[in-house]
Amino acid sequence: MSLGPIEMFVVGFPDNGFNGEIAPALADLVEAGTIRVVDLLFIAKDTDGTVASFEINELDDDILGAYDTLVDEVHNLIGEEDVEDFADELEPGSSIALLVVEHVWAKPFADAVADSGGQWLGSIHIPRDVVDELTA
Amino acid sequence: MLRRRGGLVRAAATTAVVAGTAGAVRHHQETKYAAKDQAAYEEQMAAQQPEVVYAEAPAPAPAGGDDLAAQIQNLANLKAQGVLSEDEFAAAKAKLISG
Repeated sequence: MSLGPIEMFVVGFPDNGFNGEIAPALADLVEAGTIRVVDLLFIAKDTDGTVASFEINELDDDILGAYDTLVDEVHNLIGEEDVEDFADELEPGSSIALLVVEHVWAKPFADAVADSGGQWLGSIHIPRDVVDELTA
Repeated sequence: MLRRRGGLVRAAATTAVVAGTAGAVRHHQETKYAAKDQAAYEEQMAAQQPEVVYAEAPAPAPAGGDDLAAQIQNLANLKAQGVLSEDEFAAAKAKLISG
C-alpha cells in the first residue's frame, strides 16, 4: 500500500447523534479526487460511561448508506490505543468519528514541485484554533 | 475488523520525539523512518529525487555512547510498536552505528 500524506480528522457529535449529514460534503471531495477516506471508526460513550467503537459496516443501515460509498478500502490504521485515548477524553453521552484521509491532491502537487526542480521540504499543520485566534 | 494494537496518534507523536532527540542532520532520515505511511510517501518523493535526502546530508556528528544507545533504543521502541519494519529498523540502526 502506498499512500500520500495522511491526516486524521476528529469529528464530535455532542448529543451522541451519529448521522450521515457530513457524508455528502465528504463525498464531493472524494469524487473530485481531492481526498480519499482510508480509515473510519466511530466511538460512542454512553451516559453511564460505557465505550463502544463501531466499524463502518456496524452502523445502522440508514447511516451506513451515507458513509459506505465514501470508503473504497478501509486500511487498518486506527489502532486500539487510539480508541482508548479518544474514549478517555470523550464526555459521557457523546460520540466521535475518526476519519483518516489521504490528501490525494498533494501527489500531483509534489510532482509539480519535483518537475520544477524544487524540493518538498515539509508541511506544517496549523491547528484551527490558532488560525482563528490570529485572524480574529 | 480486528484493530491494530498500537495507536496512529501515538505513532505520530513518537515521530516528533525521535526527531527531537536526533540531531538536525539526521532529521530527514529519522522522520522518514519513524512514520510508516509518511515513509511510503517519501519513498515516492525519493524515487523522483534520489539525491535530495541522502546526498545533501552532511556527515552526522559522532554520537556519544549513551546518546547512541538511547537512539537505538528509540528505534527498537518504534519497531516494537510496529512503526518500523525489520528492514527499516536494521537500516536505521546501521546508519546510527556507522555514523
